[in-house]
Amino acid sequence: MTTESAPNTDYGPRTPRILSIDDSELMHRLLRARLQLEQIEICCAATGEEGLRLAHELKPDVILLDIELEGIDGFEVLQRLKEDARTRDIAVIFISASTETMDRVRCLDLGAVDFISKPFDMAELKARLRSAIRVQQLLRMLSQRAQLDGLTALWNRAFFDQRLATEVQQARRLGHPISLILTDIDHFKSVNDRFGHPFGDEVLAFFATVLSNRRSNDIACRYGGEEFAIILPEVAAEAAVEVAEDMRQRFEQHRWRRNPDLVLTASFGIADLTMIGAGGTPADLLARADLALYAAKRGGRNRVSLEGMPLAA
Amino acid sequence: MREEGNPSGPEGGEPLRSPLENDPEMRSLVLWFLGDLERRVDAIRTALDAHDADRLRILAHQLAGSANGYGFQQIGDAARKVESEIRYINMHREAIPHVDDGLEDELHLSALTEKTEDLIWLCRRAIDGKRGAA
Repeated sequence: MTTESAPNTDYGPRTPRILSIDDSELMHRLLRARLQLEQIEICCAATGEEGLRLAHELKPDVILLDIELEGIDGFEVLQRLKEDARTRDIAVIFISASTETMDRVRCLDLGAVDFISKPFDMAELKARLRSAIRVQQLLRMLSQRAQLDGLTALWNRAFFDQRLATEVQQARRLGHPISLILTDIDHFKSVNDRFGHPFGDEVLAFFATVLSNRRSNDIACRYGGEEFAIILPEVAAEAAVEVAEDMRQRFEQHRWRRNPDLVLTASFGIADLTMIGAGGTPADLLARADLALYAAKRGGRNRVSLEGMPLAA
Repeated sequence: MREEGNPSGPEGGEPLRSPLENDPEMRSLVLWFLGDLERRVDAIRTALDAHDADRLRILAHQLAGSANGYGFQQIGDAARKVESEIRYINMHREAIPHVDDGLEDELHLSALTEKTEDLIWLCRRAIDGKRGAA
């Protein structure tokens, strides 16, 4: 949750994390000793069940998986990893004493990225690990970039639609509050016309920092053009009004280095789950917030509006 | 083979040493491995005496995968032979269960015993090497 709500800090490189699932302490100690200088974080599990639990918990980049395990075997572990959306993208390298071609074929067909035979050469294992980590980090960066807005580094519209649905569903299930803020920079078109698009981009980027600079649970997205949306899990409308008011003031008070006399403002519309009833959809929530935003614009802009009723700026 | 390579000492054979003993990254780990090996070789002996093939397979499997990494290739090779033998026996048992009686079968038992004794012998030589080094 925390990492997802702060996209602009999450896609840099982090220390790669390896999970070794092997029934033998002999193997774990060997790996730890041999990889200690590799800038790799290594965790170990002795059974398939423990391995699956740690895979969920630790989200490793790469799993080194032994076929022969007590309880559920390596094939079963791999299958379960691939069936679960949360673990599907972890790269799995099989390590096995098996020399059977069919075992290798089966591993790769099930979705493993590589296969290393025991006994293995440490230099080879390290090289294969490095290669898997490299690919993994590139994939993670690509998938995150695809969901990020290039200018503001906030989440993009596609991510917002998907995430709003998930968050609304979860709030319903837990009986928790959730709010949505829609916001729009006032008269943004004339800013672009008067000062040029490079300055317009600077304004958008700054506004994004105002919107994302809050609790780590909030999910700030660029909804389109100069319009932004912030999902606030666990927050009811009244508290969301305070959040938006704080954002409104910070944006209004900002002094622009290249245009010191310029004052820019934004309008905010808010809706929460209680306003759309038990059958309301995420789209209904968005529509209510949009209505509130429209009311804020109609009420004179530079203000926060809740449920179609403009609040005094 | 044991007899041929066993001109001296009660366990026989030259002490086995790991080339990684002198590797600073590995030295303490090799000593730990040998400590584990002392307990493991007792467990292997117990499993063999009890004709406990499953336990024996696990103990051998773990050695097969890692002994090389600690610089004991011969132990890894011997452990792999034990593991393969048990796999072969199990396969045979599944194929014709009404004829075969697993480890009670004399031929299987003697083949497995021979391979396991080889493994135990190599393990003891490695442990002797540790005593020599200490």
